Amino acid sequence: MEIEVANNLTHIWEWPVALHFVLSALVGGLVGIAGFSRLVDKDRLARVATLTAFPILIIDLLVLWLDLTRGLRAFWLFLSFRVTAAISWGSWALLLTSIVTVIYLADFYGYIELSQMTNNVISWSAIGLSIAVTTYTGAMLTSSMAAMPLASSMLLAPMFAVSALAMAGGLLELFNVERNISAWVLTFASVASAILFGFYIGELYGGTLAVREAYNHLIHNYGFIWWLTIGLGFGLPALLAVFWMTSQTQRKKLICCLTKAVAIFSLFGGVGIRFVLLMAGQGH
Amino acid sequence: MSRYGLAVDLKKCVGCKACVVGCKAENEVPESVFRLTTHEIEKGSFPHVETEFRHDQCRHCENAPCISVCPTKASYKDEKGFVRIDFSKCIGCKACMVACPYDARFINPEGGYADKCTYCIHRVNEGKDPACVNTCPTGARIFGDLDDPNSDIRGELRGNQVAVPQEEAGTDPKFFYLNKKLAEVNV
Repeated sequence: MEIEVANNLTHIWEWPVALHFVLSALVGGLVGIAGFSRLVDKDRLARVATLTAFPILIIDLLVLWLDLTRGLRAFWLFLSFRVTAAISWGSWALLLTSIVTVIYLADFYGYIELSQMTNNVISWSAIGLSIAVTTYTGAMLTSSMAAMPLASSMLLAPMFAVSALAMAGGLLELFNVERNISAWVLTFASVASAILFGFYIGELYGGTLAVREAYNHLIHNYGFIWWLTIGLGFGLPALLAVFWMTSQTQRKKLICCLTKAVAIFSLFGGVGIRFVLLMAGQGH
Repeated sequence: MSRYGLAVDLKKCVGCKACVVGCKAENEVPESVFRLTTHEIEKGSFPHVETEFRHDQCRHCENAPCISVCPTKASYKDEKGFVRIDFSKCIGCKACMVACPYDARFINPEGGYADKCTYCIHRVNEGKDPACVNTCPTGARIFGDLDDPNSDIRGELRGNQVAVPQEEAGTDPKFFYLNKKLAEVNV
């Protein structure tokens, strides 16, 4: 029989949170790439990555803040810290990422000059923050596993992190900013697909009854978008990456098309997986 | 130190929702939201139909996931084991609502903060039972100190078939069903 839902709640975190997952993934990936690029003296790539990350970060923080029902009390996030709360880690990581991004921009525009030592420290910090920002959204879902069995896999956080790097790399690939980024995108896309495969197998065969019920709910209610995301967003990039690595083709146009396709599909996959897991995970 | 819990005897519950109304009136819960709800579930078909009621409210869990995910420490456990919310610290991120396997929390439409059942702590501090227990006409709701061997709830837990809601969630709730016949259903 039909049962009414208490307090009219079916989904608690709606599209703004899913959008935050996507935007923070892009920011984390871009800042990580910027930090790494500065360490290996790829200044143009670092500059484009930082310039792209900054507006996305502003929009991301705005979306996140607007989703709070008591936004004016958001300062409490920084007056208290709970080790077990992924949002605590995430809010500090986003704050520090904002600071690193501003420092990079100030350096690019000549307002400050960073010594080699300072640059190295900040760049390694950017890489560390990138890991924190890209993994915390996955950890947010996993920490709610009592109510969200679909997210009970420890592979979710690393999968989100690698997928974030593939998304950020894909975005930069579309800007044609650096030739070597193609190889990064293809590699990250393949690794993300491999981790997703592990996650998927875990859901199918390794989970408890609650996990399997949650997976059935996912397939029943979000099956089309789930399979589209898996197929186009993860499977196809992985196949194209394998083709690229094994074919040793010298045809530049083919390589260009292939890497652009992987970039677009990786972006699609990154967006899709975050929306589907968030919505399907809560709907159960 | 006391450790309070609540049990609902499903054999005695007639689904009158007096507990829901009592809770709403006592705690001045705004329109459209509830700290406590009841749902009727049915199994079988005529003439072999079985019905039973489910009560959704905060279970004041020992391993409360709502506390561990709260980034501002607005959710906490007090010295009596009640899971409570410091409304002044709540930012409305809804992480506690997502983490709760019992859908016990909601956003208070008047204040914007996360809200839920408190086991009427203001009444318990005065030595009274929670409003839902006090209102129940059939005595289906039993409240008391789980650590007190002479309390009513300990006696009922000893003498009846006991079920813990969604035990697999691993939250160790201080809320029990007595004489439950039908399996849980997903809402």
